Amino acid sequence: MSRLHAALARLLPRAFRARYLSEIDAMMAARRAELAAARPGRRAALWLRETGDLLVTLAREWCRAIAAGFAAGASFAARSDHHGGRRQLDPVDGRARPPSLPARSIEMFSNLSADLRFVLRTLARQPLFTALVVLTLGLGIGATTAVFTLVDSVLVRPLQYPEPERLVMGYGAFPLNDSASVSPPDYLDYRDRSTSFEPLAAISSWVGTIAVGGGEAPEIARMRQASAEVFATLGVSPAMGRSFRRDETIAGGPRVALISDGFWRRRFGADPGVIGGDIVLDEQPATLIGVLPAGFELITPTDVWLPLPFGDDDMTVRRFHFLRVIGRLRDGVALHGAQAEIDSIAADLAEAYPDSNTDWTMRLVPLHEVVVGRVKQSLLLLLGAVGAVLLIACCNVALLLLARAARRGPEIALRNALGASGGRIVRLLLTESLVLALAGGGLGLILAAWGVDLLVGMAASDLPRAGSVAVSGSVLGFSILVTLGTGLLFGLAPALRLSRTGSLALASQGRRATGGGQHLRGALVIGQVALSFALLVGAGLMIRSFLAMTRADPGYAANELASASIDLPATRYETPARQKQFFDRLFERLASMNGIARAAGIDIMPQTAGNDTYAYPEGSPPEPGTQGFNAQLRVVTPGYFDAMGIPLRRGRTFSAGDVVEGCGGMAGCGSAVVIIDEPFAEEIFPGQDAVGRRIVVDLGEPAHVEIVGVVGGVLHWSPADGRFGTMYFPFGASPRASLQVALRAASDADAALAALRAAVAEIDPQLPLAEVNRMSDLLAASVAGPRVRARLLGGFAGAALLLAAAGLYGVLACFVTERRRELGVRLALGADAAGVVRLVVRQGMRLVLLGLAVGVLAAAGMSRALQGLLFGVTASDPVSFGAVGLILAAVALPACLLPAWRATRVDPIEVMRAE
Amino acid sequence: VLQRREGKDGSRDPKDPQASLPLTPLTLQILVTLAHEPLHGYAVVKEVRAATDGRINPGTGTFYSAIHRMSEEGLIEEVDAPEDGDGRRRYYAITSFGVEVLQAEAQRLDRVVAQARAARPSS
Repeated sequence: MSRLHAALARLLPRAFRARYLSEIDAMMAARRAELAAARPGRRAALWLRETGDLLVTLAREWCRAIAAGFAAGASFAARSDHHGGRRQLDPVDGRARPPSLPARSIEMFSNLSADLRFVLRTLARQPLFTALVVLTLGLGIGATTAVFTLVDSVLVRPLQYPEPERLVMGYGAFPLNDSASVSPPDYLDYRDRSTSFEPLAAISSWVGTIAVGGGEAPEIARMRQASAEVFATLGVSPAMGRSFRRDETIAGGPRVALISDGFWRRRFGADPGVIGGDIVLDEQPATLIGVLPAGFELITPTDVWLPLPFGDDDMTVRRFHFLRVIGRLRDGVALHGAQAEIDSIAADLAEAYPDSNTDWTMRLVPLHEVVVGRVKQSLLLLLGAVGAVLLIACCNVALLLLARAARRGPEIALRNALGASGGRIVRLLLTESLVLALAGGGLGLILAAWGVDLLVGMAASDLPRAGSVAVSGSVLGFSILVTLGTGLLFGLAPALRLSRTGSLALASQGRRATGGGQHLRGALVIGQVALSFALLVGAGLMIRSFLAMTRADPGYAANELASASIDLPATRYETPARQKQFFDRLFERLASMNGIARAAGIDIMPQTAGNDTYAYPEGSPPEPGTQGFNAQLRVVTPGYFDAMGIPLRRGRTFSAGDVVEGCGGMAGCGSAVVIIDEPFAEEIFPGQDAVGRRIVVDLGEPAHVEIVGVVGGVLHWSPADGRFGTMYFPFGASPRASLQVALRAASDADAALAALRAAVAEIDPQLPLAEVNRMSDLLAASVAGPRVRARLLGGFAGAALLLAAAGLYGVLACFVTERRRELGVRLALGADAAGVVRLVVRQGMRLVLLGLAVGVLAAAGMSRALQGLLFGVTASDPVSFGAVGLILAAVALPACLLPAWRATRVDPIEVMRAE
Repeated sequence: VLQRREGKDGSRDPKDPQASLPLTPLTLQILVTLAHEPLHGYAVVKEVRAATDGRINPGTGTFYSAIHRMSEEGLIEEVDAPEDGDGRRRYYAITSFGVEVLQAEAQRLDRVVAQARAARPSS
């Protein structure tokens, strides 16, 4: 059975399920097997047919089970009343009699089943009307359920740790940035001095890479470092083996590693024998001490966990911030209480270490918010958008039913005259709308199952916890609520109107319109137009933001540009000299390879990560307690700007003479020169020529360097993050064990990457390439979120537009039908066709214009809520508002003209005769 | 016009085959199929499909819904798999009451056919 079929079959009444589930399963399998060789189209048709059939069966069997339950309950009550609870035996065969139904419930159920049969027959006689209603509802409910599933899985369902609401994450915070990292010595002080937490844990701020060797070719895995407390704090124990001990999280301690379940299965074929054995990490053996449970993920996917080496050189500097802190609040401790304690420890630290800790503290954020905060706004926006679509769909169905109800006046009057009570008529009409709502809900569920896959596929890379998205009980409940609510919402209006009007009035009214009905319909159309306008404006703003982002100049020529990262293992490249020697040989070799126009290296390519520090002009140090100008810090080999296509604005690029012996400190240390980019030049020397000026850069210790050139700025991350000032230091001043290679292809980026692989293999066959990318792909990935938002919102707005147009058409068609007599008289008295067209179009456009007026207000309110997601457009962007108004009018006009044209075809003689 | 006869307490008299008439086309075809020999579910569906040139081809849910109702009404019953049958599957056979109902339905249809033949095409 398919997943959907199995889920539906589980909803069958228990007795029926127990008896026939395995049979149903077997028959479906046999039917599929019969079509195994058939075209996919036929198999899909069978799947659809079986789905529809199961839905009908569900409704039928539940009706039967409920009726049987009612009957049994009622007869039990009757027996208890009249026979003191004794069982009534059949006088002939002595067996218990079949249960007897009291008169009321018999009537109720015979009425209900009669109503159902009647409704099904009438609906089957009007396939177009039925299909329109069910499709409209199905689309609305399907989209709502799909998006709600996403919101529920990602935002609502708590993290998969025990008592997740007590988990917090700590960020380094100072006046410029409250989402920075924490330095290791600060972390240790927070851990040892605070009392609000079960032990504070720490992890490295970002996921790095590591080469896992042994066996086949070495593989680049995603690696994160952690303190010993992390897993205990989260409440997670390894599925096998153990987690880190404190004596393993010190520099020079035993080399141990934990791996994820996925990595264990992929790399080691789920062999439990590898635990306790050795694995090769960056060409050095380490003991594999455990495997984490399946599905464990902390913020981003990670394959290998290593202990943080506390006590290492970098780990003792308070000004090097590269940790995130994770804590579990003690029972009864509130977040603000813990924050107050951390702030007071931070104040003590600032007093003790004013150079490094002035103005720093640690900001605590609930872990749930960290995981989902990034996408919360987008998901809520989507939920609002589909909610609007569902509302429009409901309006449409209400319009269709109202129009039908108007035509059914005489029939209802006849029923009333023949003795049907008002309540009975209301029930008949409600049954009708509920049947339609249930059919729409069924269709919606099928569409939702597809929609969820579609959404996750589109947004997988941008969505936390994408792996855990699944339709759950609460989503099913939500969609059932929406379905029934919708049924009542649009069922009530026509039902009440019909039962309120006296039967005589209705009968004499015949097919003419009633004032109240017209007003209600007009209001529904206005609402639809207003909602679609707001949605279209939202979509327009998102699309224009996305376009602005893709048009944003990255600052380098991304076409035919590729990059890959090379990490030299410390075992074979232990000294800076050996590292430099490798890269010198590599670039020398690359210069002579076919397929590569230019090649150069940088420590951190654009669109990947970041590393920043502070600088100030020589002779004007910053105010005490502040640190100067913040800028990104990069190390590049000669020829980098040329290879990337970054223009030189003033001065010169690096030459061989700029390279000096390394000092073993932070990146750039030991150099006498620096190149900065335009944004930073504007910031630090506004309106002046920066070339030749000297600045003091914080490279662990103050470095006095001369600016020799100014280059164009680049986008380090997504366009929405803006441009940051950047300082470039020459490679060689501080050789590094890892470098990213920028390759300018002669023709094709893939061919250039193949050449790079060949060149690396020539020099060191054991060295794997990591993070192999075409730059155009990286750029596209940096706007993935906005792209998904623009597409989805555009899709929903398009659906809303179509639904609103259909609603407008329906109302005008109804208007024409109801006023056939009047129109016939007008035509008979000599009115020309143009006059009749004007009459109808005026009627329709009046509603559209009113809807637009309301829509502008709604859109203005909504677009302000979108502010944070916009790029390159303002919330009141006149282009978006104007274009959307034109689009709506352009779609509304044919929806008005079609019924107007029909109005001119009214035959006066026929109308008169009919009267 | 044939009407369902209902007992005073609303339940049909299980002994009167007339109370079960008219049969739905699917019920009729299942009874006709099982009148020959006991069969398992999928075999019944295939027989029904073949006998009606595919015009009656019930979905899986609808089919077992019908089987469920017919069992409760006593028209058919579950039996052991025959010697040469598939022991993993459930087999269904027509009951003696089912035979009575089938005969009653056949008589009713006879009368309907006779009436239809007697009717003259309207002018």
